[in-house]
Amino acid sequence: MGQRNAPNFDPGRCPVKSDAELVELVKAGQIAAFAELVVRYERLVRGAAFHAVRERNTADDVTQEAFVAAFESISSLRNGAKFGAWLIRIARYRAAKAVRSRCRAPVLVGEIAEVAVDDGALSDLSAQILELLERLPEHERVVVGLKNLQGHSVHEIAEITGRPPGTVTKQLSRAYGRLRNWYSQENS
Amino acid sequence: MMTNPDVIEKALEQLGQELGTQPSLAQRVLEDVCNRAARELTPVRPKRRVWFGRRSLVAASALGLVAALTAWWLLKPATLYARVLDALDSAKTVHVSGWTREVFRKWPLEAPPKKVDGSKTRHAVDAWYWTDASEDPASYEKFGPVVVIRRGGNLREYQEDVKLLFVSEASRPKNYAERFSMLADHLKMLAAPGLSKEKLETRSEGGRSLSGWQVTQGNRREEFWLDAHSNLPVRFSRWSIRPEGNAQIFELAFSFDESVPAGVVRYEPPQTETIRYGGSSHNAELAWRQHVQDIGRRLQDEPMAGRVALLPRKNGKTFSLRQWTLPTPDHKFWVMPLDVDQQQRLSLRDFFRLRAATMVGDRAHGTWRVPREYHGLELRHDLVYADGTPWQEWAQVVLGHFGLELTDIVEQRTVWIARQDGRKLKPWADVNPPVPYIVKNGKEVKGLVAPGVGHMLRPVTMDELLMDFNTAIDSRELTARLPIIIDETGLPRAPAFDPQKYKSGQEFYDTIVKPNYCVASDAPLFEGKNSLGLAREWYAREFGITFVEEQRPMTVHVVRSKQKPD
Repeated sequence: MGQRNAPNFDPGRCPVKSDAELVELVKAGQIAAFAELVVRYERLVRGAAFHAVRERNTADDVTQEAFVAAFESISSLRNGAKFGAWLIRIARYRAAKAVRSRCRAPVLVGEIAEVAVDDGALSDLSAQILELLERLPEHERVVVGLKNLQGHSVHEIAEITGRPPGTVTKQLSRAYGRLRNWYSQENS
Repeated sequence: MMTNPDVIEKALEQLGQELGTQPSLAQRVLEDVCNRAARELTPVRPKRRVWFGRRSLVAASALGLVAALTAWWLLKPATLYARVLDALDSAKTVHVSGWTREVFRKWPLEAPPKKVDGSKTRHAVDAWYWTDASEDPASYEKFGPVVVIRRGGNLREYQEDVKLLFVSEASRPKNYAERFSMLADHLKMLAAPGLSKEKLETRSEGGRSLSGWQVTQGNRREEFWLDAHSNLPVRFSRWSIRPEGNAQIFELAFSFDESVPAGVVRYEPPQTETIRYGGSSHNAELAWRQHVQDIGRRLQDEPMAGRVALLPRKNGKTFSLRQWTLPTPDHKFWVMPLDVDQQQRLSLRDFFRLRAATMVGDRAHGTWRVPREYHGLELRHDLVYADGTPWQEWAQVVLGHFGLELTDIVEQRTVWIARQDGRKLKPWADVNPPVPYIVKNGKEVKGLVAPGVGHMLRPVTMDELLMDFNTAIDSRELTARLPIIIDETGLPRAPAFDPQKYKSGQEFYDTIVKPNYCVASDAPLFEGKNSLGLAREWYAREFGITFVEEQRPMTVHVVRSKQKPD
């Protein structure tokens, strides 16, 4: 018979659970639930981190640190439905800390230009959209992130956030409206 | 300046792609959490994990019901299309009969049919929609030579004229329309913007009042007749508008709440060798199965020179790491995926860790010695080998690709013999975590049970627990010089996964492994000097397993650069 490999199953295959349910499961010690939250919010967190630190490797580090910090503090989160917004606040704080420590770190003359300039990891359009995304109110940023960065449907977002689908649709519509206006103003 | 709405959404999607994902981020985050916890751990106090009990489930169900009712209230149908769907949703069963000149196929014909039917051929239509015993939507649709059956999210289409079976696995239908896979698109025309929709004169038929709509799109015209009282569809027809006169394409009649014939409920497509896989683009397992089938077909046309071949991936095609070595449809060959994911190729180190090494046996983790300078060599290939080929032969072919070879030596190794005291093991959910609580800044964090972390993030078997150790202790260096655990507990072992018996590895795990062989949902793997003590204590406390250190002669598989023959 041929080689068989140890199965490695994807925790992301379960039916969609709400953030509040996953947070409760994490508090109860079910580790895979946190893995699901990481998968769910990875791009949003990396976006927030990248916006602040403008450099891919540091953004990756900040992303991981933000999730670790979120895990360690999750028992202080009373309303699990607000996990997304809460997590992004953590990511922003961590990113700001990374920027501060980078500014304090001694830099050789030859490295200054490298530190000061974007590493070009995002295209101009993406960088501009990220800038606009970061201006959105927290709850709108979360639903746009879940929809357009993570690819969830409106109904899945409704289940994730615990909001009615109509509310999610309205929030998305308002967010797109804002983004369109800002985008038009900046490119007119 | 006006902005097209699509511009923003497309730009956001592009941003999502550019931001990307880090491979195994979740795993690394959790390992980081647990390693920190283990480093800060003060004396162990077992603390029971809280699993959701019946009361929580009842509360969750009640909440779900409230949410569903709220959603129903918010989504009460406003359009004609929504009213029809809502009416269909209230029917226990739906039966559609009639005829069609068009045969709809999920999997398109791969070659023109040998015998051209001609546009005049009418095919019988017989379709049923119901909810099965497990509350999953089910359907059977026979449109001439094509039968499509759906059970939950699992769809199979058998094309009798070309003896082809198409298998697609996706999520369950999201709404009632999706159950009517063939008809849903037509019904959607009732709601399509910009189409000419004309209300027809109300008719009386069989004591019912029928309201009708005619929808025209390009050279197609559809006519819908609905029960004016219930909004249930009664008849549905389509014409092709031609200068020489309109030609009817199909005529379908609806009836409701009839008993579904047993033959329809039990229908299974016949066995066939031509199988195609599809479904969600995220369904990497199906994509991989399809790829293996394609290789199998190619091997029939272009046989391999020997028993083993390393085939480079064409066009940079990649599959998820979580794929299994699978047999080709004729069972003469096995195909092993040698890649990681979209971002990465498979390193030679990972080839040994993930593909060549096994949990137990003569090529177990901890028995491989691979010099560091070879770790980073990369693969993006399919390894194909004839059934019955010894593993040494296919491993040599992979190494030969880089001018390397494998040689076995026997040497004294430090081994830890795992023995068990004979106690009956607890169910895996009752096993206490190896690190019972999180300590942050010297204080226990209240309200959080810290889990140990196994690399699999799911309940694991005893083999997997011990393998975790053998893998983790030597996974970076592959030196085969560190202690290795040998399992002499005598605990029952899960059978090997047989891809012929189970639809997927997940199904095998859910039905066989998890209920019968899983022993814990954590693993005591941490960094730092406390780690081994914690692990030993946990094994003894939770499973009655202790370890005895010995020196034993063991075979080590050594990778070296190819030697010239003497």
